[in-house]
Amino acid sequence: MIGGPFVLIVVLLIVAAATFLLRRFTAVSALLAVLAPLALAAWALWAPLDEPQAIFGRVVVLSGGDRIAVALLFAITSAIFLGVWRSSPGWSSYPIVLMALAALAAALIIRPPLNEFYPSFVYSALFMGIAIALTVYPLQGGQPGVTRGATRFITLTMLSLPALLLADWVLAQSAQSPDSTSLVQGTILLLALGFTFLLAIFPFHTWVPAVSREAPPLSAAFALTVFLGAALILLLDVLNENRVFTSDPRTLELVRGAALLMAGLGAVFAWAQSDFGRLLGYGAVSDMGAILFAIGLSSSTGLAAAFFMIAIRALSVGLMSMGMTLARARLGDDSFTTLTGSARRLPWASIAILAGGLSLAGLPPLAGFAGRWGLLQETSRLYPAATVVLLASSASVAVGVLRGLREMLRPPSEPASVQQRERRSEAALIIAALAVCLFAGLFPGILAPLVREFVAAYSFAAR
Amino acid sequence: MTDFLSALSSLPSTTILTALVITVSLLVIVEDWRVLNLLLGVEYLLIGALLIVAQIDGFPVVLAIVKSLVGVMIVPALYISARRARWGKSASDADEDVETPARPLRQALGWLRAPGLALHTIVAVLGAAVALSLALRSPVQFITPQSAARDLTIAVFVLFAQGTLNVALSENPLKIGLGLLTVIAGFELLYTPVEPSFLIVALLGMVNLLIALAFSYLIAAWAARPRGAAQ
Repeated sequence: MIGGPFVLIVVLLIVAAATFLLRRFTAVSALLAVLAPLALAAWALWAPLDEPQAIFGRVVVLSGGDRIAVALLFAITSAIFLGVWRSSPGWSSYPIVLMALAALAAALIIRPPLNEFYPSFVYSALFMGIAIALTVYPLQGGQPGVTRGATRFITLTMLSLPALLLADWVLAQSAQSPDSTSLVQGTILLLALGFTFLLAIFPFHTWVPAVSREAPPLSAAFALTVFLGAALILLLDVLNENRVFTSDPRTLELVRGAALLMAGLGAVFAWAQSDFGRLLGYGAVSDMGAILFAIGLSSSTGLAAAFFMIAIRALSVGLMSMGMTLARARLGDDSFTTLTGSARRLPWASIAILAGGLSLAGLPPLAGFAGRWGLLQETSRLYPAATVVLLASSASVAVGVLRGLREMLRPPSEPASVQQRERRSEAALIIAALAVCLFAGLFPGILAPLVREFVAAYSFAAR
Repeated sequence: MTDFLSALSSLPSTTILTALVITVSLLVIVEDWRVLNLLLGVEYLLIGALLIVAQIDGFPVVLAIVKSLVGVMIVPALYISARRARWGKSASDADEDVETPARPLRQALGWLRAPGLALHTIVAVLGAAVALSLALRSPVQFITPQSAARDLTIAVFVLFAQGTLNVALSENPLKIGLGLLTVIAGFELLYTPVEPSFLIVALLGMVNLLIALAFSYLIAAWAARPRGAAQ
């Protein structure tokens, strides 16, 4: 019988088909795309879906951390759709993004048969592959001649598929011969390689700045928050279900090392960017480094900080992307030069870029601060040197944003035309997002129940 | 069908392996989109043939046919997309092509004068040599018989090497797509004999088709770039 968590995927696919059929009725299609994932997020949180169910011989289960993660990813997608609806009326990627979201949800909830003798992640890897191929379309966004970001995205992330499938196969061999250290080492190396590709870890991060520079900003926000968020949750699931990884200290050392590389990369490059697109990319790389380092701490405090950052990152990236969308639509691009004087011509877009950027940097009192503060407290106690790198990456993103702000505050060369001004609905959406961003920064405790439940689900970090 | 499969099984695997190495090396060298599509189709057929000829213990032959069929389905998707996009030529360029029917042989062999041909040839030969050397040093242990393991290892390493070179050396989405599909085909050559689950093979086939469709879309977008625009 098809039911339970599987309904989430089926409903998403039905809604995807409906938004495609209703594409001529833009408002109806957009409204459906906004409401369906939001309703499914609420359903995933409050409906009793934690009983495993067998579908075509495979197990579908939505429990613990995955339940909260899936609800979070659905809610983020709904918010992105809302932003797209109000700022980019011509955007037509609702069906394909909903299908990609369904594939990402499948990656997190479909498990191998009950009689499997080891916790396989083969279906997760395959559904991630499907999600990658589908995400290319919104990233390219129908722009003539603009393919670099989308091409790099599919090429680099898809290379994770062979590594992850081979890691899963070697893990099966390792489960049959538990004494073989070479098999365990092989699994760890292949898994590390797979997640290096999937999570855009240095040197395979090059799609992130390219996508954030080229793609429609809210499509880039989907890749940077929902796709990478799902990949991070998959990493947590794999680490949690296969103690062979977390029992070897080298695995967590690898995670922390990769995290510091990414944070260091952000520290070196973010401040020097001359457009907000690439700044968002390097800010996201730097933030990803912070999240990975929090996971690599393998402690409940670290995991709580990681969850905060995954959730809040959507708010920071979404707010910045919303401002960039308006700037690109009105002024042509989001380079600092083009945005000269935009604080007067497009005040709400400028505020959105500024607040989103500073939140991504983890500055108080914005939402991004709560997770970073938790991480820095834990890191300064355990790894003081790493704290310097994490602080430098935050500072670098903040300096980049402030360099852009200097240009935005200069007097405009020409007064704003009527067409350039923001609509009330766009301003209202930015004000609402800004209010949420400030509220989450000032009262992070509101997420505490979810954070506690999330952390409790990952027992590998129970210390 | 059975006669065909038995006839195919009697072919020496070295012949098919050699043809496969040459085909994937040509994928790095050639620039003409029609030839590239043809070579990709040949590559998938040779991979299927190699899996049949290798006579791997416990490996169902029908999976090899499925692999080849998936490949054959991919080629038209890429071909149609590249053709519809006029391969980056504007309508006026296409008219010019029609108006200059002279020297057809020179036009047909125009790719031989391409500026990067010598470099691509050297890189492809070096890539094949390195892959061959690595494969002979470390044959996979988990496939029997041993002769099949040796041939498959060589094929896998060559597909990985040449696919990666294609991805790394080009900005053109068609060549990058062919490179990525070649890398994945190399991985599947190794993975399918050890994990012959129909569901996994079907999902991998779906991933391959979706990659081809995504690259078809990227090819169309790339070809629509303004003339003279560099990526």
